[in-house]
Amino acid sequence: MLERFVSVVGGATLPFLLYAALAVVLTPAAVEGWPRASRWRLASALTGTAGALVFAVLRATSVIDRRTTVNIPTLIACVAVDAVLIVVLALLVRRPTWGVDGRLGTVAQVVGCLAIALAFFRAVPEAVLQLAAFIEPGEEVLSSQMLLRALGFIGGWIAVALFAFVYYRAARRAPVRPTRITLLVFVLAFGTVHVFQLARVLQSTHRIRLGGDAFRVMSWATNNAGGVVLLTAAAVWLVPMGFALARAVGRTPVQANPARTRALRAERRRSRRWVLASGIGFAALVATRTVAVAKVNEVPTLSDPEPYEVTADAAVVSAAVLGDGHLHRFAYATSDGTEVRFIMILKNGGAYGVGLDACESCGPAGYYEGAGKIICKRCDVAINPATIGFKGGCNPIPIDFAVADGTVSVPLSALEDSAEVFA
Amino acid sequence: MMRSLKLISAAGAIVLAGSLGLAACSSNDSGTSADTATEAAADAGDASDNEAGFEEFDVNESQKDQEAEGQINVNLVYFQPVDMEPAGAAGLPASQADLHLEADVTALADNTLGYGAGDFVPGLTVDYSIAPADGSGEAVEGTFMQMNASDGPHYGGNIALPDAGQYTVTITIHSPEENGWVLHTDPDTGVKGRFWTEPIELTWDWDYTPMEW
Repeated sequence: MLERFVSVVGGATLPFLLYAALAVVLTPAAVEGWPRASRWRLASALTGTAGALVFAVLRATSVIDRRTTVNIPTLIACVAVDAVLIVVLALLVRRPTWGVDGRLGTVAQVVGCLAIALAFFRAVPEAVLQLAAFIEPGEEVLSSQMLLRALGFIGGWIAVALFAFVYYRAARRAPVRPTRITLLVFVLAFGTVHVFQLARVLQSTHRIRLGGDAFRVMSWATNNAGGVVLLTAAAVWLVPMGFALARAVGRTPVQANPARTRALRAERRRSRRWVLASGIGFAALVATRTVAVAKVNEVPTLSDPEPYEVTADAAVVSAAVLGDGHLHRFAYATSDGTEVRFIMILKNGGAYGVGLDACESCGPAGYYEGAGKIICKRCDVAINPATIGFKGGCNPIPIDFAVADGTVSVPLSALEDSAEVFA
Repeated sequence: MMRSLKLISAAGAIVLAGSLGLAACSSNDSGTSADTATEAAADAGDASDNEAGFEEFDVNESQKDQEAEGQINVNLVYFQPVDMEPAGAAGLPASQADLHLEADVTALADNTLGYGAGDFVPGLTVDYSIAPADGSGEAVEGTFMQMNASDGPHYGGNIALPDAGQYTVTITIHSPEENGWVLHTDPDTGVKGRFWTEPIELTWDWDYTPMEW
């Protein structure tokens, strides 16, 4: 669940923030009802999302056999539209009256709609294609794991939309010019992300060949797009909000009319709350992209080997120890000093699964227990405990064992022969 | 103004739909003509399209087709992660992988081990290591599995490699003898050559960028 949530937040935040930024700049100061331009922005986001859904379905069903066929022209269009949008926003910073109903009004709204549609079309497929990963191979269609993944996915979208909305409401209360300058910086960053994405796609398909520093810069941008770059772009918004907060703290100036004083006080209180909510939202975003990402990527440490009895020719483990049905790890020092680890588990049905703490594919990486499965530490493959003791894939390498008199024993000769696996 | 908005937004939607339509038209299926496949391959630089319609990329074009021991030729390519059977015993599922790395190990025309020229060499243990070229971080390591795709048998595996960067790929090919492969040595049916005794180690420099498959 957390993995899906984190992934959606990483991919969908920037398009939603672009939507919010354009809503801040292109919505009239005084709003009555639901402005038509706002409806068109929503329609653009929905159009981009719908197109992305169609694209994802066509890709998932292999009607389209490579995303780059669509992604390259899409990214070229994104970069072109971003460039026009940056020029338009720069002009609106310079000449605020040219916006909404001014001479740049129509152009700004149209370019904004195109930018939103393209941004959503670009960002959504990656997240939508995760739908295919809701059900892992060999898993039942309706399982609690699948539902949790779906919940994380939907929760991610809701959280990002809410975050963008809070940002929008807070930024609308900030002074116009600093806000527009800030959002221009944000859109510049957003456009730069698209430029790097285009470079990455062209590089990955070998249509361009970046080398040396250019490749290293592109690699850094690629590896940090969902982390440092995203958080920096989101942090930029806090600048005008700081202005809004500064204007909303301290004593409220007394107005001639007490009712006006009360209204102004309430207005300043609302500003403080929206800015505070934005701060909390940003903190949540930071936590999601740092703590939660670290949690998702956490490499578990293997449990310490447990004690067991060594006889003249076998390593003997009491069946009582294995009775809990959990994974147990043991270690044996061979005659040449190699530590050979082996694992045991009591499977459903009363049989024992015994194998080396290593597999043919990943070597002596080891296994740990999680969510009722035995998971390879190196490749994250989840092994069905029932299959432990059988050869193949990332399964633990089977090893001879015997069950007798309430014990499970492994011949020392088998452990000695396994030294090369751990050498 | 609103009329222009409608017109431009409609045009935008048509552009999106058009690019999808073009993509669908240009995508290959099992019935792709040779002409289409050739054009697509040419379009993708050194990427090659096979008949199944997926794109293969060389890990490093300039280090393509490395020969070893005068017996085998090794080429390293990668393409989209794939689902394999039996699930759970075939390594990382496609949904958790970034690519499928494939080592094509074929016999050289003048090999002395009895393999047919260009034939897949079976029964090998092929280990891989993908390490950051600057020595930082941990290497992604493992052993390829033998498998068949629509274009024939190969050694390969799904690999999670999310970060772009410069990597060194090391492929270690153990002698078939380790897996109990034997050779005829009599005068009538025997082969002249003998299996290599030390594992073969080949390296590729890889400027890797994650692909949007």
